[in-house]
Amino acid sequence: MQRTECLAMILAGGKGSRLGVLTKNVAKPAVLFGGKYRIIDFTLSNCRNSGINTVGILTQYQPLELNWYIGNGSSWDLDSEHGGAFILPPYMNDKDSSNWYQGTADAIYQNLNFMDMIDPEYVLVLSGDHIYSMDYAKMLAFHKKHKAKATVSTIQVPLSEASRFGIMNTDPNLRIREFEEKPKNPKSTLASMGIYIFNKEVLKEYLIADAERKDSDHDFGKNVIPAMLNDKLPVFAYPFEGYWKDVGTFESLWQANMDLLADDPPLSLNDPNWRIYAGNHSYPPHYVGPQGQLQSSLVGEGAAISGKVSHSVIFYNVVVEEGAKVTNSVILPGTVVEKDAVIDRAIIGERCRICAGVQIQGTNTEVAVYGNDETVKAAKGKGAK
Amino acid sequence: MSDILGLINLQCPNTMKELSEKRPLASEPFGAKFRLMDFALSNMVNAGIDTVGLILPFHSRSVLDHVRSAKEWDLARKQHGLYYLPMDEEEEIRNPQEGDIYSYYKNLRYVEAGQRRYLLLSGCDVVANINYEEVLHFHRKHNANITLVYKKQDADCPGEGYVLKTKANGHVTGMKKAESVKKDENLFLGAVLIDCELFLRMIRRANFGGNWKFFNEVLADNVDNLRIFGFSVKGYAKRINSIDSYFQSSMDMLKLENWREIFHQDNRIYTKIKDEAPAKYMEEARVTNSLVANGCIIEGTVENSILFRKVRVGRNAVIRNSIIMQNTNIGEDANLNYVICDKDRDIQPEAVLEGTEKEPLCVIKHEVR
Repeated sequence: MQRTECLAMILAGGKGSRLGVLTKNVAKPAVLFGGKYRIIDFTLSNCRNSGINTVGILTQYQPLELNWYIGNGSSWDLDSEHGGAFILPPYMNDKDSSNWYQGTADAIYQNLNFMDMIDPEYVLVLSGDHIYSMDYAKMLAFHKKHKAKATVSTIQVPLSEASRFGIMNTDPNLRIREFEEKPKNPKSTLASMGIYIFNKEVLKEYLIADAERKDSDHDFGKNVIPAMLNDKLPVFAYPFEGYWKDVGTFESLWQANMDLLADDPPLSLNDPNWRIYAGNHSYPPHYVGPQGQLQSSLVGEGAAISGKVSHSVIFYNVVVEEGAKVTNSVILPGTVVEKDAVIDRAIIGERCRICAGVQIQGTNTEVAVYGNDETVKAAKGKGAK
Repeated sequence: MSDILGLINLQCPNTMKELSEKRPLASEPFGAKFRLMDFALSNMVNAGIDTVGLILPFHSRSVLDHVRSAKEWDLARKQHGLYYLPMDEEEEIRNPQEGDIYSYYKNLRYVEAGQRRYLLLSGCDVVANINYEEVLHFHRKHNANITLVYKKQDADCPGEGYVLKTKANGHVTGMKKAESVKKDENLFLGAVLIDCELFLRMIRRANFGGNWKFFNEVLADNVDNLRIFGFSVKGYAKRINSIDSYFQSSMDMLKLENWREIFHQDNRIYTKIKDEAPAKYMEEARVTNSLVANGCIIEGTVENSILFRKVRVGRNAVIRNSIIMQNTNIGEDANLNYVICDKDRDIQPEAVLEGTEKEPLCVIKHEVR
């Protein structure tokens, strides 16, 4: 078997508590997006498109649907002899009994055995929560060129948002001199994307040291990277440019969906050289009825559109009946919007039934949100629940 | 393990030469995403058949490219699964259109090795979602030696076909080749459920006896000797035997009930996965009564039409009553009416292409020599 040069470890245990009803039964990486995808498809497709064929997926919160979805990784071409997709849930070992992942660094620490088994030269640590297209091969080349021990992928953020991120200062060579996790008074706007490349042996050494520290939060941004900087290790900031979105709230999830509807969207789903792979369901091409109207929208397979849809993302198997109107909304798979129902600025869960004539209206500041399997006979009070 | 062994003869005569000289009928795109062979393959798989042999046509590149490991049909297995049954030199000299007996004779080893009680033999020219489990049940119930699947025609059907005469209980008392099939006649759909042992005997005898055609020589001669029954398909079923029937059947899919019955029930039709993005409708798109596949980007007007995967419709382009196959670009301001456009074509901006309902205009692919 070929040696794996770079192993990707995807942190996919996020609860996504701010996504409320949408993450009631699934982990955040399994949240549906863009008419066909789940959030983790972007990270998995990036791996596949960057030539990384061995991927560990660390799950914890509500893993069933995510595990089922990932399977053996064949949807992302990861079911190869020389690699694979490995689901890594917390497990018991002989050291102690409580083994939930305590933080991002602890999650990787608990899977050191797996890392040793694959024995790569480099470890790429990723989050399964972000929507973006990125060539990790370029970041790895950067890491090698600078002879770094660790590289943090960075992006410029507005100053007003900087205190939500890990913020760093670099010298002109992009070597990181200072790193502050979620600073109150950010000194720069160069933010960490939570994407790291480490030389495996260095990572192992620091994870073992970190695990022994009782005062540590076992977090890469808060503990591991600062410890490396403290020891004057060469840690570099890789400058990423492009679309990158953490969809942690209803509004940001809704907005990221709406971003896809621009004529020339900041994130392309149609790039033949950078395909976004997803689980497939063998549904037929969608049907547009004689009274159908569709503008500025994405429509998935198996949908049947007889009403009016504009500026919306319609997932597979959605039915929009005659006279119904869907605007500025995201309709998740299998939902039926019955005759003359009106939906504006909303996210509607899977397999819902929006009864005839019901009106659902979000506001400018709050999108209306319904969870899975709801039958909506009359709209709830204004805005989200 | 299923009691049935599947065998699909992809050597159907190419009856759509206007569209493609060389592409076998089995590979003709249908229903905005599929190819005709998908129906035969998926119907078998949906009946739990785990071993399917594909008798390949002479030009088999498109078939192999489409089916590959047969993973999409769940037939890429360590045991059983899909078997390609290719042509050999001798067969190239014989014209398969002169008869199918030799194609079966040559592949009897596949049937023997399968070691199943029944053989389900099918062609690849029918658009239908057939429940073969019901056919097997029917076959057993009537203690039949052979069951033939047919569709009672609800309208006259031009083009030659095989017509079955049946008694009320389904017993077939006669079969004949007809120049055209009339309303209320029973059109044979090319699917035969037969006991394997009987099939082996019949094909061996026919080959040595100089017979060429399984249906109208071997089966027709045995109507009185064997228990041959006809299973009537109640739902949608159409045979593609000309550009006309292809166009009509394609347009039938624009009726919601047909679309649901053929594609959107528990038994699905599978096809090659392409990982295209959901279809994108731009600001100026106007689309009605159409089927649209993933990967399409639409800026123009589309009515009563079928767009396969990755079709781009430019601004102000108008497409009516047309079938546009995969990866074709329709330029801005182009105007198409009653057109069947093959895949990978570029229709220039402002082009005007006009066929008629009776004779759709075929824009063909550049064929590789």
